[in-house]
Order: sequence, then C-alpha cells, then structure tokens
Amino acid sequence: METLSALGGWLWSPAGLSYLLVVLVGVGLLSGVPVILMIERWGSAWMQRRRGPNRVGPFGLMQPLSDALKMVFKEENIPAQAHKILFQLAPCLAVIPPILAFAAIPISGHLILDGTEVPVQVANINVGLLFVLAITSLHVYSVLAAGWASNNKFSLMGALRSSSQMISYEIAIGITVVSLVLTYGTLDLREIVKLQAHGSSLPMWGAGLQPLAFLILWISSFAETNRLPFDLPEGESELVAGYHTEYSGLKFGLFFLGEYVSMYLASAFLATLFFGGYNVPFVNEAMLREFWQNAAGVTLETAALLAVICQLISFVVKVFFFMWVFVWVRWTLPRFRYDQLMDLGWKMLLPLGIFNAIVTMVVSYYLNRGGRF
Amino acid sequence: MEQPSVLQYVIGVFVLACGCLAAFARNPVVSAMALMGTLFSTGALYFGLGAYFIGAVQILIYAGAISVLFVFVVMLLDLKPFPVNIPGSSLGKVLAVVAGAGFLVALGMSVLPGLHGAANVAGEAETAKAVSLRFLSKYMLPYQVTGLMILSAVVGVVVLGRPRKEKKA
Repeated sequence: METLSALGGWLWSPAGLSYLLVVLVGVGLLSGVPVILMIERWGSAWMQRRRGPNRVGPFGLMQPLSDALKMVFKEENIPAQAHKILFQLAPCLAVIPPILAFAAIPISGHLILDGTEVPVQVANINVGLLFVLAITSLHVYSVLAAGWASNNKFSLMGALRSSSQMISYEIAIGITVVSLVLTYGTLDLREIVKLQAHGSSLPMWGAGLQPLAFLILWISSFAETNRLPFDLPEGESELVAGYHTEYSGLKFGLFFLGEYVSMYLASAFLATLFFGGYNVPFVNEAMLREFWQNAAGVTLETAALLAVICQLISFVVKVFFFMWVFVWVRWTLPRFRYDQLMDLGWKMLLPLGIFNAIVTMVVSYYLNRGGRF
Repeated sequence: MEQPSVLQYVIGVFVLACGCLAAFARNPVVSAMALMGTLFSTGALYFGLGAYFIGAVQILIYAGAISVLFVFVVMLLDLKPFPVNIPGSSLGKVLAVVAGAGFLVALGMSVLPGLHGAANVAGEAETAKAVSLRFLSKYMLPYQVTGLMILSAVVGVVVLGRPRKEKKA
C-alpha cells in the first residue's frame, strides 16, 4: 500500500507526470476508436435513412465490442508466397506512427505541481510541428510493406496508388506549413496554442489568420488518412481492398485501428494549429484559474487542475468536431477518380500553398518593418 | 556530464542492427526497409541527445522522404534476391577483411574519445532558430550553392526524363 501511494505521489510530480500522461493519452486514444466507430455507424445510418446498429446491447452500443471480438476470433491467413516478416510488420507500422506523433500534441494547459508550472503534454519538444509531420510521413511504409509483402497484384497496385497519393499531399502540407510557421514565428505547438489565446477579445485563431492554409491542410488530411473522397487505395470496384486485400483477423484490425488513430491525429493537429488547441474560447488560462479560485474558493493548485480539465474538454470537443466532419464527408461525397485526385494535389493545392506562402512572406515582412517596405 | 541512458544504448544497438541488415540482407526490399530503420533510429538518437530540430529534420527528410523513394523504386523494379559473389582470390578476401577491420579500429580510436560522455547537447545551439541563423549568415554561400546544385539536378532529371520527339521521316 505504501509503495502504491509513493508511486502515486511520484506520478503526480513534475518528473513523473509525463509517464502518467503516456498511459492516459495512449489509453484515451485507443478507447476513442470505438467511440468514433459508433458515431460513424450511427452517422452513416442517419444520412442514409437506415436504422443503423440496434441489435447488440442497448441502442446497439456494444457493436464496436462485437466488431473487435469478430476480428480477434477470425482466422489469420498468411499467403504462402508472402514475405513473412514484412507481412507481419506492416500492420504494426500502421498503428505506431500516429500514436507516437500524438505525444507532441499539447492536450491541455499547465498544472501546478510542487510550485512549478508543468505542461500537460507527453513530450514538450520545441519542434512539435516538425515532429508530427516527420512521424506521420513514416505511415507510408506500412502501406508499401503491406502491398509488396502480400505478393498480390491488387495489393501492390493499391500500395503504389496510396503511397504516391500520400507523398503528393505531404508536399502540399509541407509548403502550407511554411506559411503557418511564418505567421506564428515558432515550431513549438504549445507556443502556437498560446499565441491563439486571447483575453476577453475574440480569439485570434489560426483559421482566421490563415484561412487558405486551413483549407489546404484540411483537404490534405483526408488524403493523408486515406478517407473518402480520397480512399482510392481501397477502391473496391477495381482493387478489391487495395493494400490490405490479403489481411484478415487482427492484422486487418490493426490497419483499421491505424486509420482511425490517424484520423484522431489529423483532427488534433488541425484543432491545435487553427482552432486554438486546448484554449477555451473567449477566456485564457489565467482567467479560468481566477474563475475557479473565486467561484469554488479553492487553492491555486486545485484551480489549475480544474482549468486543465476545462481545457481538456474544450480540446476533445474540437477534435470530435473534426472527427464528425470526417464521417460527414465520407457519407456525402463520392470517390474521386485517380487522375482527379492527383490533379487536385499537384495543380490546385500545391500552387495555392506556394501562393499562400508568398503572400504570408510579403505581409510578415511588411509588418516586421513596422508597416513599410 | 550526463551519462547516456539505457534507452540510448538500446537505440544505438538498433541502429547498428538495422545497418547490418541493410548491408547484408539478400532481399533488396528488406535492405531498403532496414535502411529506413537505420535513418529513423539515428533520428531517435538525436532526440535522445536533446537535439530535437536535427532529429525531426533527420526523420522528415531521410526516413520520411528519401528512403521512401528507395523502397518505392526497389519495389517497382521487382528485384529478386541475388547471390553475392565476391571476385578475387581467398588471400585477397582475407586482406580486404583485415584492411576493413583496421580502418574500423582507426576510425573508432579517432572518434570515440571525443564522444565520450556526450549524452546531452541540449541548449540554445540546437534550436531551429540558431540553425537557421547560421544558415543565413556564416554558411550562406554553401547553402545557396547547394540549392543551385539541387535545382540543376532537378532540371537535368526533367531533361533526361522528357519523352523524345520522334523525327518525321
């Protein structure tokens, strides 16, 4: 019992908090997947005027559990001519990068522990923006490895399509991020969130400062996560199921999980960059703490904890807004043709991103010189 | 000076294992994937040293972009695993191994003492701002020349890859 309380005390200290957060964020992210699965099933049923899941448990709430159990108990088949190691490695590579990249996302404000302000974030690194982009760029390998190792022409075609799609849209994302960095003047995601916090005035969110960049990143995030209208690698009518044609059971489940975790990552990234991150609209962190101190009459430490909970709720609401848009778009828009997808990436989003970057450069030069060229 | 952590040793071993796999794997695709592993875990080592910017750039450029191209091309070419035949007499092979080992030892002796104990280089020197300031002042000329070289390489690729116009007979 004493060791347990000592462990608890250590976890609730500036040094131990990041270990606590590793567990909390990891578990929170993975248990968020069944939630969005349920929302997606209900949303699609609602949009298509169907009843949706209503058999497993009350209101069909146990449906994600039954889906997961189905995947666990299905036979796992490895094709005879497949490359055994890469075939088994590919599903892992699909899940690890999005979860890893989530470490750099600032999920809430600051706690006060032992008299110091501790950021609520797994890894508070000063190049969070680059870190997220770098780690998500590794997602391509799972697709390539799966497609090649399956030794199946549909898988290989799907993998080639998917990887060229992801690389193409990564270029548009990279160019667009330049204009964001110019606007905020930092690569630190926590600093970016702080810059979007305002006192009682309207929050200067990134979506207002850089509307074009927001639009480009939003569209690109659909392509990066392989979601409709850009889910060409899974074009059933021509490619069976793309790069995961040969996967079954829990290995397919991992690809599935990876897709939903990267949706969460994309939503969190967009919310952080453009929608004020963990900030509660119209109030900043100091005001929240002051409110809790005055309203509940608690100490500064408890007020900071309550403020952090408020900010966490605000962040989760913003993330779920983007998640809902993912679902909404999936059941609204039809799939693009492959050449249309590539044209959109290379001939629309990339030039627009470059244009946006140049305009931002000129404007920030003008502003830095005190309003004259 | 801070001692290297256990995790840094683990990552170091992983770097070496991936490097060996990249060099010795018979299958070109496995080689290319192992190369990605090496580049990625080198980035992880930079993170362990506290050089976040260098680490992120290493992963973004090398692991995320350049080795994707390697994997992509190797997969498209559909190379089969090939047997490696090193030409030359057995005495030559032995001499090559000895020379290689000697080179490794010499390299280790010159590099290792300087690195000892350098477990954390975090500080102002490694931030994005410091790196970019140095790029735009002290190393301005090499930076621009490199940019020009890459541009000329891109133009060269476009010229070489352009479809030839067929001459009308």
